[in-house]
Formats: sequence, C-alpha cells, structure tokens
Amino acid sequence: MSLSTAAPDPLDALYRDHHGWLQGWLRRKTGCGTDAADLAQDTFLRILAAPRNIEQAAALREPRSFLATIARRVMIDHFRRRALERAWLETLAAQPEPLAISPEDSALIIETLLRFDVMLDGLGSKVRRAFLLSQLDGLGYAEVALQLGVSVSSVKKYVARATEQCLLLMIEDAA
Amino acid sequence: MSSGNRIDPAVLRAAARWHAQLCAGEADHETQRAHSAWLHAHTEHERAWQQVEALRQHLQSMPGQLARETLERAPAGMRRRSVVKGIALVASVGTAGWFGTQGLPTALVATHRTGTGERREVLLADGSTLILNTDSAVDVRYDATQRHIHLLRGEILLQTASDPRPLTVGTPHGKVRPLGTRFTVHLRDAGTRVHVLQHTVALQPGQAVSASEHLLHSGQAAILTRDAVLPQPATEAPDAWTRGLLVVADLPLDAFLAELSRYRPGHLGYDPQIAGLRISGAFPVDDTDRALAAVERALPVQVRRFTRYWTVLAPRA
Repeated sequence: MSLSTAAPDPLDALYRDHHGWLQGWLRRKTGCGTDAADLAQDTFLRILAAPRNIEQAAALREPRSFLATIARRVMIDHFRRRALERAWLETLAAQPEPLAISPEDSALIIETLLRFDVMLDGLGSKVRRAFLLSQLDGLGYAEVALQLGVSVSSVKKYVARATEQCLLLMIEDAA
Repeated sequence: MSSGNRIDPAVLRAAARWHAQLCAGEADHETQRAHSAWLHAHTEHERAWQQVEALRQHLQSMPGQLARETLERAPAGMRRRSVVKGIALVASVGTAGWFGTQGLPTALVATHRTGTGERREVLLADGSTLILNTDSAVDVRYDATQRHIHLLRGEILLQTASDPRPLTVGTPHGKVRPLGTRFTVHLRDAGTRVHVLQHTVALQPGQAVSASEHLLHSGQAAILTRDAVLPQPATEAPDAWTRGLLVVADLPLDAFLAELSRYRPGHLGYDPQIAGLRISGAFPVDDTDRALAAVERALPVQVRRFTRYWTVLAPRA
C-alpha cells in the first residue's frame, strides 16, 4: 500500500485554478481560516492518493462539485480525527507511567487509528472488541473468550469476520 | 501494492478465515502445511494473502494496547465508512513493529519486511543471505523437504547456500528456482523482474501450459508474467541498492523518478515537459532529498515542495 508515485501532473492545473475557491468554500463551512487552509491541502492530497480521482478530475468540465464532494469527506475525517486525538491524549494521560511519544509518532498513530476506526465501523461490538483484543493486545483466543463471555470458536469467527471487512475495504480503496 | 485487479470476495473470505485460524495459536505443522497448499493453489490466493500481510503491517505499526484503548474511548458518532486514503498510513510503515510483536503466533512473525526507505539483510536458517530493499515483504517457509520464499511486495536479493532441499521463490506471477546462485527479484504490478548476478536461475510462469522452465544466466534479466517470460536488456548494477545506491545510465527522468520514488514516502511528481530529460549517475537512496538536489544540479529543473509528502519537479524558472 505504498503511496510513492511518479506521474505527470494534471493535478497542477487543478490546484492552480481551484485551490483558492476551495479554501473559501471550506472557510464558509468551518468558520475557521486555518482549518480551511489545512482541509484544502488535505483535499488535494486525497485526490492525488488515487490516480483514478486525478483522471476523473482532469476529465470534468466543472471540477468544483467533484472537489466539494472530496472536501466533504475530508471534513468528516477531520472531525473524527479530532475525536481520536482527544481519545489518544486521554489514553496516554491514563497510563500509570508517563510515556514519551514524539508528536510525529503520535500523528502517525492517529492516522492509522483513523483508518481502523473507519474499517471496523458497522461491525457488532463483540466482533470489534474480539478483533482489537486479539490483534492489538495480542491476547489469546481463550482469554478473549473469557473477557467477552463467549466460546473460543465464536472468537475465531469474530476475528475472521472483522478481517474480512478490513480486506474488502482495503481492496475497494486500492481499486 | 495490489495490482488493482479485483479479488473474488469468496477468496478474501477464505484468506480472512486463514488469518483467524493462524492467529488462534494452534498453527501446528499440519495447519501451516494446509495453509501453504492453499496459498500455492492459485495466484489469486497469493494476492488475497498479500492484503492480509498489508493489514497486519498496519496493525503492527500501532502501539497495541494503547491503540485499542483509544479506539474504544473515542465516542461513536460521525464516521464515514468508505474510501480513506491514509497519507500518513504509508509513512507509518517506518514505525512497523514499534512496540514489538510479542504474543503473535510464529507462523505470522516468520515474515521479514521493510518500510519505505529501509533496507535489511537477513541470514536464513540454511545459510542463505536475503537482502530486502525498500518497502518489501517476504514470507519464508522452510520444512523438512523444501525451502520456499514468497515475495509479497518489493524487491529482494538472494545469495543461496547449498542445501539438499529444493528452493523456490514464489510471486503472484510464477516461480523462480535458483541453481546455486546470486540474483535479484523485484515484484511489480505488471510482472516480476529477475536479474541474475551469478550462475543460473529457472523461471516458470504461474499459468504456463507446459511445465517447461526458462533458464536465465549470469548478467541476464527477464520479466516473469503469469503466462510468459520476457527477456529484458540488463540494467546498470542491478544490486547497487544493496549498497544504498541507485545507478543509472542515460535514463529518461520520468523512469528515474519512478525508481527514486520507491525509496521516498509520499508523492513525487513532475512536469511533463521535463519527463524526457536524460540522467546518468549514482544517487543515494537513503537520502532522497540529497538525490533530488543532485538532479537539480545536473539538469535544468527545480524541486518544489508543497508539504513533506508532496514534491514536484518543474522546469527551472
């Protein structure tokens, strides 16, 4: 899932012609100039992360509604990211020993958390929890089963179910 | 990176079940053998398993318990389930294995991997040396009768040691069978590029009609696709990356940047006007900013940085 790309830039033109407009649009939506500048930048980054998007944007006669669609998604992620950032800081504060984690590492971790937050969305609470306990805490299935009050074979099914949803969404993203 | 081909949802489901099975901690010899058999049965299975690998890599890039607590602490509310392209997710590969992988079943930790810009040398159980280039992953499976290395992503150099058990390197495109040798294997979407540095390797496409193999000798290169072996002109110093260098002779700039971008997180774009400029030289892949500065000195181009992960080369103003 590398994002390393080297390609000619139809995006350059898109950026030159509509970046100012997009930033204004976002400022009206969020009421904050700094947020709007960041979100506009993120919108373009989002577009260049998917070559399909760039082609789509380059082919459009009126690319602004396309930009607004992507920008809306970026905004939702932005607010979700804020919620995760708060939760991350609270989690760190709740640790018995202070942890030294650089702001850069924290930022990377929050991006990954955001991605998993989205991928695991819509799964039942037991499925989600079984997956997280086994994959992130590294607990054995027997222990997970005990914590959730279910059978070991259920835990295995839950992990398979959550893995399947993640794989489906990863494929969808890559396509 | 996946080839963009769709994978049958039923195959993804099977891969997800294998993942759950291997995580159960009961991955005895029998289970591992059955898993290997499933993996080899079809190239689509291999591609599905690559996705499992990628998923695990993302999971392992997070500090386990802290990450779980954070996800459970964040209030459910506005979420958007669909395409989230994590810019930083890519960068997070560099911190893979950050808090260790304690408690993970051996069947899954046996895999070696590198992040973007990373390089690693591994001594295998039979004495063979494996070097992983940037953003690469392999799965090594040795048992009593055979030695098998799956290239899941990226590029490796293998210097084989003699051993009575047959050795194969598998990719979604086919099989590479070294005959006591040193060679590189680079997995790309369009095919697997093999470059022989010493002696001979045998190539076999995954969907070959006959079982015949194509032999490749010292100094030769070829691309292995699912149904063919395409001979290629040999490139300059194909193993220069093991010394941290990208060596090119009279290469178009677009091809050069495509190579360099493998070592650099984020987007490396260029103005189409400069795509055809030719470049020669040895460039450091461990410091791509320095490599780009060298390009700026050698050619009439300038490097424009928009953010840390977005760089574009333009004609010099």
